[in-house]
Amino acid sequence: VGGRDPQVIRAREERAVRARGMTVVYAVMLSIALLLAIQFLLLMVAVEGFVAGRAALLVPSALGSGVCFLAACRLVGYLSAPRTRGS
Amino acid sequence: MSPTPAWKEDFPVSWVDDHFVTRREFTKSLALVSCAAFGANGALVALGAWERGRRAEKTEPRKIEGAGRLPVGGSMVFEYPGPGDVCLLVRLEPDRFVAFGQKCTHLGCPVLYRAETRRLHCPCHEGYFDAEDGKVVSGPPPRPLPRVNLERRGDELWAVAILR
Repeated sequence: VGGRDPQVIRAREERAVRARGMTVVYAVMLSIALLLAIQFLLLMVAVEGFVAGRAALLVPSALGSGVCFLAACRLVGYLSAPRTRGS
Repeated sequence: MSPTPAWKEDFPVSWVDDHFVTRREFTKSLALVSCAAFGANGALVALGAWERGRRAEKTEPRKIEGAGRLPVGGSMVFEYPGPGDVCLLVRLEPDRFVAFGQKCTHLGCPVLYRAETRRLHCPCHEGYFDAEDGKVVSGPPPRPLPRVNLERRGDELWAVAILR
């Protein structure tokens, strides 16, 4: 429907671009949520290690948590960066 | 009279607009939560290092008050090497005492002495330790209890060292 009307074609293209953009936004949000879940698991491991006196667990879990945080920052930066339409 | 009240002209932000959160803002708040989780992990590392440093300090012998009044098969708590480090003294026989750190090596719950089985029991996750040497008999604890070395000085009982 709409044939070769340039306005209809442009509107379809804009919708497609917006849909792609939203997919990227949801993918980023899901990735950050997964990273957060991993961080909470690491935090639980660290708390249990701390109360049980297993100090060897603390530094690796903090490093893992730091890596997750950096990845989350990178994803937020990617989402916040200004980009040209359609890219 | 103007249809819009004066306060609305001064603060033209509507309730709905004020509470509207964009996906980007929400994502940024997720990153803040991630930062907080990382901070909490870092704080635990710092606390662990502080705790290790405190343990490494030289411990002074300390007299255990009231040990002589303890009945055979009885137990009492005392603090060693420092305030807040709770240990459990057990009188196994008239002339035989043993003492261990009271924190279970699983998740830090206080252990209790069970005279009928001669075992130390952690009620949180059903961990059992041998009262003779503090070794794990059953349950989830991964290591023996830290043992306190005791010394008799006349009629007094002194804690002289803790072996972790």
